[in-house]
Amino acid sequence: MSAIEIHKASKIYSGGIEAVKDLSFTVRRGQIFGLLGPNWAGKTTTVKMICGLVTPTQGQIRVNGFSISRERGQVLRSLGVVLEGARNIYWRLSARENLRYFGALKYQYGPRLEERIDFLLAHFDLLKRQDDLVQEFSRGMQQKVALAAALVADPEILLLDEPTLGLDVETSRLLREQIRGLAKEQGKTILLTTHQLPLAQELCDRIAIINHGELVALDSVDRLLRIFPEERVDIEVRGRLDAHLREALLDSPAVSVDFDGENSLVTLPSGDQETLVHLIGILHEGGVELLRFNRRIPTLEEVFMRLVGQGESRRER
Amino acid sequence: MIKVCPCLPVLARGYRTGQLLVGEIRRRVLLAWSYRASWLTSLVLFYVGFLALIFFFDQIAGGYGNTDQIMTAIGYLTWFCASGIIVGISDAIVEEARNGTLEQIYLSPAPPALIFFGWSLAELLLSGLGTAVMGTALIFTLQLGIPLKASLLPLFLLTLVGVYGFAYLLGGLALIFKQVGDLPGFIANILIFLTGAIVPVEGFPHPFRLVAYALPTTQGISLMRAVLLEGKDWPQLLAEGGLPGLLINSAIYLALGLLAFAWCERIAKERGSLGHY
Repeated sequence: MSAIEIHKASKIYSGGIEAVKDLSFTVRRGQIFGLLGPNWAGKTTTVKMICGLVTPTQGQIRVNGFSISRERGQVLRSLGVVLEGARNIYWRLSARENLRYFGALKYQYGPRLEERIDFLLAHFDLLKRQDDLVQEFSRGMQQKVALAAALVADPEILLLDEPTLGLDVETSRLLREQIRGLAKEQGKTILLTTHQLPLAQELCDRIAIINHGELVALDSVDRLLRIFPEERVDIEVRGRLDAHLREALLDSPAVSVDFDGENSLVTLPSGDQETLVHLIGILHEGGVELLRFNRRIPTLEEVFMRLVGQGESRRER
Repeated sequence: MIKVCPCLPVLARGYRTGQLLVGEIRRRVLLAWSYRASWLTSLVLFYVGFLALIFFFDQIAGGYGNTDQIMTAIGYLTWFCASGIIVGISDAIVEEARNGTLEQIYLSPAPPALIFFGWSLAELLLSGLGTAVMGTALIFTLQLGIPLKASLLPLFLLTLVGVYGFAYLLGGLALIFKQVGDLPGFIANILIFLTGAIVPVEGFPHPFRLVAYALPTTQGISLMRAVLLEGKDWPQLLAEGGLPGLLINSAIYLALGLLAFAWCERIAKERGSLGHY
């Protein structure tokens, strides 16, 4: 049984805005599943439909085998949710009081709840400031309290909507480690939405890319990276290439030349050995200083941009 | 084999529900404590407001006696408690939406109605405390000899049942239209004049009297005055039709309020506006 199953879910808001169209995917147990898309792609609506905050116009959503429309209580027992933004918790309560309250909301109480709170406060390095009001915390610490609150009932599945948005680099890295630990060490299933693609590439086992509410791609990170198989070779040379040299280089097929204000980058498909030797010959004869030679595999960001871009072109047509 | 009493799961569920309600009340009280200065200020304002009212009536009517003062105090205190609940629930919904925590309530496996019941209990506790503090202060300041009777409490609570219904009706509107702003406060303030809180509705012109009797708290205030000032007991109130009237009024408001709230919840989820502000 999958942790989350979405089958042909659609959401049309009043005014005819189609936020999600015919979306289907499953999230397997123990996976970190990334839901990626540009702004207004329908990521948050999808998360909110999974946890019952938004009613789908059509389609079925099941969590742990339970239908969110008919078995809301059972679904929410197995879910922990951190919604987008810093306001998932009560700023006028302390970290411990927040966890107590969210524990009570999830039917947790007594010594077991206090033990769990102690564990989470220690785990997220919040013990020293457990009795301080959350409004005095940094954004990163507030996000840790929100994550701890989502984990207070030890749910099997976590939904994280833009968990590292607005965090500084160090806190973002720490939170990434914690998210990875939750899946790999505690076996939790995690669905996260983000438009920080390096984060998704680093953390996720599987990824769904959506745009304008439609599924654009759904696969493992490795396989997504191979969607556009042509690897590229970058040749970085010092300074700007003169027009004559540029023309000579651009005579070869699928070659591009860019100048970043300091150095030039000549790019060609990696499989074309003949062209590579030819281009190096031209550069050598032109007396250009070669700085770096690099075989480049497309990043998730490039794959994402191309997939989303293809979708946009189809839409325009 | 150990036999387990079949009542155990029921007891466990009841205990769990109790803990949830305690958690809800605890949170509301803690949050209210963080606003204690404004709570105390409003209490002082309403206290001074009542004294000003009594002074005003005394000047106009010339000799506003102890019985008149008790009559006004009953209406004023009931209205004060009721308006606290009416404004409290709408304000809490709007504030939760503004703070971004309203959706968290809907992420609990517990039925939202149960959580909102916890809110209501907390609101009753806070408004009741405010009413008790102000009532005590008024009794001592004006030397009011209010002959408190046990039969008043059920009447008071029955009145509040209807008030809750009305509060949930406005709360439902707040779920959809987060910018209801001062509307609940405005309505609560109007109720002081329309429900006979200050001047008994028996003196109202006939059409106004009918409207007044349809509003929450009017019948409750009227019955509490009858018990305190006219010495009527429950059988008399029952026979005269006042008590059944209050029962029907409160039941209708509660049913309407809960239905409207559930309907507004459904609309907010369809619109995806639960978390909007």
